[in-house]
Amino acid sequence: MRHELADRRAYLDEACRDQPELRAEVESLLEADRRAGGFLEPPVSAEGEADPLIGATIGRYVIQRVLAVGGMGAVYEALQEEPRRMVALKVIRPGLASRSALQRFKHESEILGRLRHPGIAQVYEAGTHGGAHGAPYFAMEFIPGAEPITRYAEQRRLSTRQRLDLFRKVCEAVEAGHQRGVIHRDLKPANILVDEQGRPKLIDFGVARATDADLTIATLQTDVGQLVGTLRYMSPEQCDGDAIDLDTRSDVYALGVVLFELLTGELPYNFSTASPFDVPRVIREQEPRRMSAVNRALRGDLETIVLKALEKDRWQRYQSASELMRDIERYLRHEPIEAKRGRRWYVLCKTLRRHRTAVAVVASFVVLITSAAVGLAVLYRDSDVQRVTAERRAEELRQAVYLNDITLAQRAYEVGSGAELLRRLANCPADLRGWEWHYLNRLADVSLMAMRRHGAAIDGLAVSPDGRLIASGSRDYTLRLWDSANGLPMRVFCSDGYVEQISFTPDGRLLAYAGRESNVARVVEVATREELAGYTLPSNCGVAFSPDGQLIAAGGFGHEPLRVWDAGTGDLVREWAGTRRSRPMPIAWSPDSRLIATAWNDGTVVLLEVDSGDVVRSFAGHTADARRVAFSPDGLILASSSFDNKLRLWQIDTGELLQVLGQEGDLLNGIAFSPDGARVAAGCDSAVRVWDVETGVPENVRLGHGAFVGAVAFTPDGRRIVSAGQDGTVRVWDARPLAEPAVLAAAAHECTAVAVSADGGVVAVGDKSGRVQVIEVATGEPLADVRPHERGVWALAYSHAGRRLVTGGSDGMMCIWDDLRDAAAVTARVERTTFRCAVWTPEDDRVITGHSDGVVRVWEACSGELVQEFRACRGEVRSVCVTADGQRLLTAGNDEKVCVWDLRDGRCVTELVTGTDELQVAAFSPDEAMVATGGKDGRVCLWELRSGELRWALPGHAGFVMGLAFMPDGRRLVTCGYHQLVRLWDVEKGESTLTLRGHAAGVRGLAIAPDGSWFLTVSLDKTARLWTTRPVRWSGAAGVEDLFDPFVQSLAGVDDGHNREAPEDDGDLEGAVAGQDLGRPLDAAMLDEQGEAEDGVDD
Amino acid sequence: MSVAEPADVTSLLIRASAGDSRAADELLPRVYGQLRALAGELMLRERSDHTLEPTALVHEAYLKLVDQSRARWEDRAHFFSVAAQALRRVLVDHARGRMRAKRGGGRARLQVDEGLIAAYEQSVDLLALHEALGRLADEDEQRARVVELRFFGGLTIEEVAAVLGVSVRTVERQWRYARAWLYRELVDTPL
Repeated sequence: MRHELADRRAYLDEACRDQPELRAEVESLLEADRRAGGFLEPPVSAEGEADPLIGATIGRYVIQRVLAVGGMGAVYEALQEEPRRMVALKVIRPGLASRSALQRFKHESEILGRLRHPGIAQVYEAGTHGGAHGAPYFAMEFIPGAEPITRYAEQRRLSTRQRLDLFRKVCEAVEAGHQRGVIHRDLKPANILVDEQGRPKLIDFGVARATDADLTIATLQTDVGQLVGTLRYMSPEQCDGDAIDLDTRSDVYALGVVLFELLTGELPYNFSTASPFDVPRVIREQEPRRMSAVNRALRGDLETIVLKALEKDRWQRYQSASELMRDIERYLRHEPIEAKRGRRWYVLCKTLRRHRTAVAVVASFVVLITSAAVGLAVLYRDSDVQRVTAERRAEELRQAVYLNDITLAQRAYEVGSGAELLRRLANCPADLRGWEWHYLNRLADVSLMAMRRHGAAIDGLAVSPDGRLIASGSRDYTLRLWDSANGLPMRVFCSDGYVEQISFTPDGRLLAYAGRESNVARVVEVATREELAGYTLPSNCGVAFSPDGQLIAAGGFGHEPLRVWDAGTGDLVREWAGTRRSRPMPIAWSPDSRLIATAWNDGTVVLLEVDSGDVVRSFAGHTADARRVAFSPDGLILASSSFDNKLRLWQIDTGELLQVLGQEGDLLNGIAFSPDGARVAAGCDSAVRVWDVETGVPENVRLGHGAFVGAVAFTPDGRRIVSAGQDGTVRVWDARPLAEPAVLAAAAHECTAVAVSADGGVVAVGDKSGRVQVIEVATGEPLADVRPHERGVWALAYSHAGRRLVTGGSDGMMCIWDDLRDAAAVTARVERTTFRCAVWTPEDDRVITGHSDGVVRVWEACSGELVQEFRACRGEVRSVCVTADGQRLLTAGNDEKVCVWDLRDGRCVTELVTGTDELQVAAFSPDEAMVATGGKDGRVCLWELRSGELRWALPGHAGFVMGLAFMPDGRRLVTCGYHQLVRLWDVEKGESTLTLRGHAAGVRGLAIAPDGSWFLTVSLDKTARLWTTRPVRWSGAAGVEDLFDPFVQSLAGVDDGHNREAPEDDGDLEGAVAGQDLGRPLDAAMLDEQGEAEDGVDD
Repeated sequence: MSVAEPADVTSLLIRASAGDSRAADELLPRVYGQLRALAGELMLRERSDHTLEPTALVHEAYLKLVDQSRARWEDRAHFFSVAAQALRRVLVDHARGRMRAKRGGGRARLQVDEGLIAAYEQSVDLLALHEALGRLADEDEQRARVVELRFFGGLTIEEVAAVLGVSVRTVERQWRYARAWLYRELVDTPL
C-alpha cells in the first residue's frame, strides 16, 4: 500500500493478473481507506485542541498544548511563571486515585525531586490539582525537540559506535538514579529521550513507583499504554509481577532490550508468533535471539554484552548499570570485556549438560580466557589431553569462577559494600566453599542480633532512656518495641502513616511518634499503651520531646509549620511557618533544649532558637540537601549528613567546619553520637560506619544489613549501636571498635611463637623477651602470663592430650608445663644452642626439639632425660613434625633439604632437595602423603612424599615464608611470612584462595584450631591475631571487658553466622511470652498486658 | 448497584489467563455486569452532559474489580481484552434497548448509559457496527478483535499489539484494513 497511485496501478495489474474480482475488491478497499479519515478512531485519541485543560492553570503552570495523551492522563507543555520556564506537566486523570494514594504520590515525588543528574529530566514538583480527590500532577523538565533514542539514532543514521556512546551516557544516568535508591522501572525508548544537542535524558524516572499500584492505587502503571509499552522491555522478574522484589537489575535488563533495539532496530524476542497474553511467558521462558541473527556485523563482544544484560536470572546479569557501561566502554576501547568470562562459563555449563563428551574443545578455549585458570592451561599442555575428561575440566573451571567470586567478595568487604558481599557469597557453590568463604561469610554479618518483624523499610529508631527498649518505626505503618537485651518483640503500635521519628520522654514514660502520610504525631504511654488524647499534634514528619522533657516539637518544617508546645500544659510556645526552602526531616534538639536544627534545600543546616524564634546560626557547606542532623551530647558539635554523600561535623559556637567524613559514593543517612561524644556513627549505604570525632579516622565497617541503613542510635550505656534499614531489620551491634582480625594477645615485644591446645580451648603465644601468655580463645581472657625464658621463645608445643606445654628458647632452656601458672614440671638445658622448634610424639611420652646447631634431640617428657640426638642438617633445624604413628620425623632447616627420619634408628629415609635456601618450615599434609615447604625465596611448595615429585610451587610471599600449616580437612594450606600477609591455598589445585591483611609487620608463625574454624598468627608487630569463621564475642587485646549476655553467648556456638537472629515465635504471639521461656523477667506493667497483646497488634 | 467482591473477578482472571476456559466463560458476564454498574456510578457522579470515555471506564473497572496484589501482568492484559469485549456488549445492548424504548418500552436505567454511548455514536451506528464486525470476524477473526480492542476498549495500536501478542506493524495493517472494510460496509455502501 505504500506505492504511489501510478505505481499502485501497475502493481495491482501485476499482482492481480487474471483475477479481476480480487482486483476490484482491493481497489474498493483502497478507496474506502482513503475516505475513512478518522472513522472509528477511538474517542480518546481524537482530542487535541479540544482538551479542556488548554489554557488552564494547574498549580503554578499555565497549560499550553498537549504533548502526549494516555489512558490515565496527559502530558502537556506548560509555562511556569517563576522561574519562567517551560515544563512538561504530567496530569493524571482525576478521580482515579484514593486519598492515601495521593499522599504516597506526594512522598515519592519528593524523592524524585532530589534526583538530579544531567542525564535525568528533573522532576520539579508534584502536587494535586482541584481538591482532595484532585488530579495528581508532575512538573518535569521540558526537553525541547526531544526524541526517543531509537528514533533519534535512526533519523541521524548514527554509526554503531555513536549509538554505543549515546547508550553509555544512558547507563550513567540510570546508575545515578540507582545510587539515589530509585529504580526507573519503566525504561524503554519512549522514556529515553535525546535532546537537540544529542544528550540523552531519562524521563519518568521512578514515576512508575511514585504512582505505583502496590497499594492498589490508580496509577500510570495500570495504564494499558504504559503496561503495553513497558511489556516488551519488562524483565522476567517483572513478568512474575512481584513488585516488591524488583531491584536495579530489572533496569539493567530493560537497558539490554533497549540496547538490542538501538543496535538492530528490532526486539530480542519475536512476539509475532506468540498467542495472545503470551508476551510475559515469552520473556520468562524464551531465550533472546542473537543480534547477529539480525545483523551479522553485531556478533562477538557486543552480542555477549547484550546477552549478559538480558540474562533471565538476574544474578547472571550485569549487577549494575555501571557494570554494563564499563563493558561498553571496554568494547569501545577495544579491550577485553568482563561479560566474556561469566558468559562463556555459562554457555559451557549449558553445553555440558547437553553434550557431556563433546565439550572438550569448548573447554580448552574457555580455560584460556579464565584468568585464574592459566595454570590449568599449562597443565593440559603437559598432560595427555585425551585422558582428561570434559567433566574434570569443567570442574576446574567451576573452581576458577569460585575463586573469582571470593576475590570480589573480599573486595566488596574492603569497600564496605554489604549487599555485594552477600551476592558474591551466594554465588559460590556449596561444595566448593572453603575456609575463605566461611570467613567472609562471618564478616558479612557482624551484628549481635537482627530483629525482623517489620514488613517495610524502617526510618524511625529510638532507644528508651533506661536502655531497655528499642523502638523502631516503619513504612509498614507500625511502631514496634523490642527488648534491647535479647531482641524479643514487646509491643506493636499501629500508625496511620509512616513512622519516621520516635521520641521518648526523659523518664521513658511516654513515647511520641510521627511520620509522613499520617499528618499527626501521637503520644502514647509506654506501660499502658494508651494514647494521650490531648497530644495529637499536627506533623508531616517529625516529633521530639526536648531533652529536658519540658517541650515537645512536631512538624518537620518543609512546607508545613514547625511548632513547639509546652509538654505539660499543651500551650503552643513557638511556631515557625513552613517554607519551600526547607525539607521535612526528623527534629533534632540541642541537649540544653534551647535549639532545634533543621536542614534546608540548598544544603545549609540552620539552628532555630525556641525562646526567640530566631535563626541563631547556619552552616553552609553541603553541596546537596541535608538529610539528618545530630547534636553531640555536650552540645558543642553538630553533625549533618547530606545527599552530597558527606557527613560534616561543625563547631556550633564558631560555625567552623571540623570534619568532612564519608567515602565516595556512599549515601549517608541517620547519625548518632556515642554517649561520651567521642565517636559518631552513621548509616552509610548498607553499612554502619563509625568515626572518631576528634581525628575523623573511620573504624572498621559493620556489615549485616541487606540494604540502605536509615537510622542509627547508641544505647545510653554506650555499649551497643542499634541500626535499622530498608531491609526491614533492626540490628544490634557491639559498640566497641571492631578489630578485624581480632587481637587475641598483645605483647611488649615481637611475638615469636604460637601453639594451640589439642582441644582448641587455649593458645600459647611466646615473644622475644621470653614471655609466654596462655589465652582462652572463647573469651579472649588471659589464663597465664609468665616469663620462663630470659630470651626469645621459639619452640612452643601443646601435648596431644590435655594441655601440657613445652617451651624452649634462645636461652638454651626447655620447660615442660602442666600448668603455666605453676612451676615447670620438667626443665632441661642445652648450652650454646637455641631451641628452635618442638613437637610431642603421638603418645605424649616424648618431646622432640630442633636446635640451632643442626641437631634434633629427643627427650623423655616425664623426666626431661635426653634419649636420642642426631644431626639433621647443616644449619639450624627450623621445623619438626612427627607422623601419627610416631615412627617418622620430618625436619627442615637452613640447608635446602627436607628429611624424613626413622625415629627408631635415626636413619634418614627420604630426602627432598627443595631448591629453597634457608627453609623455615615444613609440614605433613593430614594424610601424610604430601609435604608443604616454605623458606627464604617466598615460594610455597607442595611435594609428593613417596615420589619426591613437586606437585606445585607458587610465589607466596615477598620475603621469607615463616609459618605454614594444613587445615585439618587437608583442603587448604595456610602460610604466613615476613611481608605481613597471611595466605590460604587450595591444596588440590595449587591456587591462592585468599590473601589476608591485618598485621603491621612480618608474620612469624601460625597455629590452626583442631576443627579448622580459626587460626592464630603471631607477628613482629607484637600482636597475636585471630582469623575466624565464627562470631567473635570480645574485642581488645587480652582485655575482656564484659562477657556477653548468656542469650547471645548460647547462640554464638552456632557455627553459621546467619543463625544469630532473635528467635521468631509462632507469629501470633508478640514474643512477650517467649521472653518468659528464656527466664527473662519482663516489666510487670507489660506482663499485665500480655493477654491482650497476643494478637500482636494494637488497634 | 453493588460491586461484586473484587476477589471474584481476580480469581476468575487468573484462572482464565492460565487457560481455564470455564473461568473465561464466567469472566465475561461478570465484567459485563460490573462495567454497566460502574458506568452508572460514574455518570451519576459527573455532570449529566458528560461524555464518558471508554478508556477511563475500563481502567476504573480494572482498579475496582481486580485485586492488584494478586494479578500479574498477563492478567491485566487479559482483563483489558475481556473488558473491551464486555464494553461492546454493554453498548450494543444499550443501543438495542434504546431502539425498544423508542418504540415505547422505555426504561429509566437507560439514562445512565447515554453518556457512555454518546462517546461512540459520534461516528457510527453502534448496532450496524456490531453486525458488521460479526461479518468481519467471519472473514478474519483477528481483525475484528483489533477493532474491538481499539474502538470499544480505547486501546492504542501499541496496546492492541501487546494484548494480541503481535507486532505493532501487524496491528497497524490489520487496523487499516478493518477500518476500510468497515467504512465500506457502514458508510460507503456502494450502490
